[in-house]
Amino acid sequence: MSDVVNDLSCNLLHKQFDDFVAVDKLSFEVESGSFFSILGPSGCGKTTLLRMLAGFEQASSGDIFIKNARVNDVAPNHRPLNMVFQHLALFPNMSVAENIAYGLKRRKVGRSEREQKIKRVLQRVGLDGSEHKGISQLSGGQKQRIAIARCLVLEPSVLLLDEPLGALDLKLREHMKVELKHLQQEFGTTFVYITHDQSEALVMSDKVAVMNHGRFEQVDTPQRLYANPHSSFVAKFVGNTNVVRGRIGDVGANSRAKVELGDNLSVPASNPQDLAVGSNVELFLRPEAIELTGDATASQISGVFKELLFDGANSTVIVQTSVGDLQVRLPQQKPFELAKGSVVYLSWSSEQCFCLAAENN
Amino acid sequence: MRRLGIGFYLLLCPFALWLLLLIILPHLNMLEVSLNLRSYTTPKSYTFQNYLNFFEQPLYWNTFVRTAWMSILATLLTLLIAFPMAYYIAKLAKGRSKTLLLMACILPFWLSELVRTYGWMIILRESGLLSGLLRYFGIIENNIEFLYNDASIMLGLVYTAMLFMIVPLVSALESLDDSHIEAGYDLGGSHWNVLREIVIPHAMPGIVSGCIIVFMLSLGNYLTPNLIGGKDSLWFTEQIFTQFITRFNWEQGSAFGILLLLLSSLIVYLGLLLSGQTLSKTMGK
Amino acid sequence: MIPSIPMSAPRQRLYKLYVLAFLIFLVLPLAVVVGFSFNDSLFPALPWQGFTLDWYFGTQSPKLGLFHDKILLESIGNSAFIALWVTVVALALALCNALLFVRYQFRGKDFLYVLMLLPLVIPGVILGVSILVSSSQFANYIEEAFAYDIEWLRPGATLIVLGQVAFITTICSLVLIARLRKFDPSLEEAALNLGASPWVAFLTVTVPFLRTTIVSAGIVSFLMSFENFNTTLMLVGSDAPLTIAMFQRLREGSTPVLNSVSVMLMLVSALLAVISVTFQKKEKA
Repeated sequence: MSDVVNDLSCNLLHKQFDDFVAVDKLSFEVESGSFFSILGPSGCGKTTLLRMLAGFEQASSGDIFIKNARVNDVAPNHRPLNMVFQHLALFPNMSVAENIAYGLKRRKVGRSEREQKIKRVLQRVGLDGSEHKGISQLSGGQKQRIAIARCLVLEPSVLLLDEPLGALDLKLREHMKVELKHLQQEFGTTFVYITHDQSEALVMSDKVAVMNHGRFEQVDTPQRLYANPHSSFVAKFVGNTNVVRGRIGDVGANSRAKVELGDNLSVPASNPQDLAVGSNVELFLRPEAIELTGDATASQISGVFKELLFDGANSTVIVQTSVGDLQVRLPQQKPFELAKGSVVYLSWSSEQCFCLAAENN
Repeated sequence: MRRLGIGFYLLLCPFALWLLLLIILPHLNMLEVSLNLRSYTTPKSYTFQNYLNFFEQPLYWNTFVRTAWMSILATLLTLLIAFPMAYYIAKLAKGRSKTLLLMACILPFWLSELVRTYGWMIILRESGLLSGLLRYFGIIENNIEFLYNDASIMLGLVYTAMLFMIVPLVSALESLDDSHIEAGYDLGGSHWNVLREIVIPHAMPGIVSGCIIVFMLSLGNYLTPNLIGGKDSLWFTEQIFTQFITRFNWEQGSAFGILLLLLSSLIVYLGLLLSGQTLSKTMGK
Repeated sequence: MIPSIPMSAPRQRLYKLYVLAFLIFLVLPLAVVVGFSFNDSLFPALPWQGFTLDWYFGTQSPKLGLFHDKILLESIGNSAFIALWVTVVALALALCNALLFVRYQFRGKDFLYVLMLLPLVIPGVILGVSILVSSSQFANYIEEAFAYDIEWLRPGATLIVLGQVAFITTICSLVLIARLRKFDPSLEEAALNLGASPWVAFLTVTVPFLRTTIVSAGIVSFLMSFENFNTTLMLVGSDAPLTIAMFQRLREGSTPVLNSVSVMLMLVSALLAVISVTFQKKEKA
């Protein structure tokens, strides 16, 4: 263990159900006061991990430390962390104030102090005056904030959030993303947030762990995760991207490579894993890195304009090429005036194109 | 599978005690007694004599068959009478009138079976309301006894069991989406056709559970045959009562009890088999 | 045959008529019982002899009213005592069963669930008889072996409580299981997460969720016990509960005091029904 006091760290944490490994010898640290997201598809083990942290599942082996104290054998009700549940789990038989008071009462906080704390936390989440409302009277966003207030009033070392935005409609979800990030900055509490929605993770987090098959594929800042994914899985899971299968034809200095895409076509790309000549790779090219041009000489590949998927600022053009259909971000500066079937040329800078070892499937 | 903690065993204990002491052991014990030879002098020995008696004495045998048939008939009658009412409550009545109708069906059954039977006795007996009214209107000259016949027994059985048919039917019919019925008509079905092909198949679990309960209640009924049917009602539960309480012949009574239990289990089993339902699905909802 | 599908007018009228006839069929015996409780005659029969309250308040035989009929009053007391115990025991058992079957996964669960449903398909008379047989045999054995008579194993209030608990527990369990299935377990986890011990979490979160259901299940148990006849008949000792006492009077051909008892029963049942319904409404709100 390092000397720094981390709010949360795990050492070789492992969870096995019969033959199935849900969490595979995981070690990680969460910096104090940061917003840490665990991003992964359903079934990747993130929920099991969270439930182990909260104490609702027992680890098969390995350790969990909160503020450098081992908590594996501490019952869930004695762990210094709190959790916002997927469906919030606000007590329907209690008012807003009673919900927030619940944890304080368990700690035997006196009545007047309790009331003060409830008032203060409600102010901070922007819902002052709603003490006596019933849970059913609240809107989705308000419920969200009460669920967070209920935990934060206890000043936990770590706040766990289990996909709390999943049940909200799209618009409110966009809004709550920003609000959650601000709440975290305002309270300064360490947030551990699990989600399968990469956009939630990218927008809110200081660091994101991408989880797959019980392991973290990469733990990084959102920017680096997007720009420099360490594995093919991460590259595909985070953000939208074109994937073309190929083989490394030649390698150069500074992790550069020529990738053969068949048909005597080979393109320069960065090779961060320093794969050897002949390795099967997947070539990744973000739609926004590709430029549509009329100039054949400056382009890497030519194709035929197939269709336009209009979605405002996120509009994409599908171009049929010899290596398959490629998505290209629609240039927004000038009007788009191509007819279907016309020939287009695609170009990109070789820094924005990278290859990674192909996934086995 | 997760390891089960102490909490599980603490909860299992009362369940096991209840099931063993109040249900399983008493019935096994009854089975054992039914196989004992009734004798004050010789030591305990086992015999099938109590069961042979049942087949040798036409009275016992006839009563048994009669009870079964009457119960089946009562069940079918109850279903026929209850179904339109349940359908009305579930599909046609709306809002307040629906609540009121359902309450009207349920409320009489919060009352003791004894009181309900008593009401029918007042109406049907020789000096009763029906006889009196008919005489008042000059339709008959002398009082007529409407009690103590098979029709009055049937009336009592149907009335007693009505609620237990209505409630499962209503809940089964309510779960049928109106749009299914609309689709049935839309695709050209007639009233009868929609009823047979859409409504009844959907209500099947409710029909089966209603029928099972009504059948059980009729078969095990003692009050109605005894009070409305009178001396000649020939109901099997009366035979059991007679053996146990009047004749104090527990061995014979136990044998009768086991036979009734077998009969009811068999018919319930056949009912479930024919309709493709299971006990947990129909009863344990 | 739903509101959105038109039905011909005569057919509609016929259906309405049927519903009306059905309602009259339901209410008739009860109305008759109520009516004759005010008839100033020694028999609950026509002709109408004028209005009286003697069958409630009369102090002299033969017009001994309900409130001065010591035997009936005592039997009401017996019934209430039995019903109270049955309610408490059955609810406690049912709560355990509900937690057991909803919260835990274990081998043989489906089988045990079917066993739990068993009392629903055992006729009440047989349930009573089997408990009578086995408890008496056990008591006899103890008496012979230790020369000690366990009085409560002989017919009487305790055996009646046991016999009724045997099947009322199943009904309560079904009600509580249905409700507990709707409980979101993450609520209890949230309570743990906020620092509550498992026991406190159960009391502060789960019990309030179940409270209304517990109350209505309790009311149902109380009424079922109070009105039970079949099982009770086989287990009754010297202290007869109300249904048995009324049954005995009925066979002797009694005065309209039975009508007034019935009316009181109706009032109490209606009151309990209203309480139960209000609770359920509150639950939905």
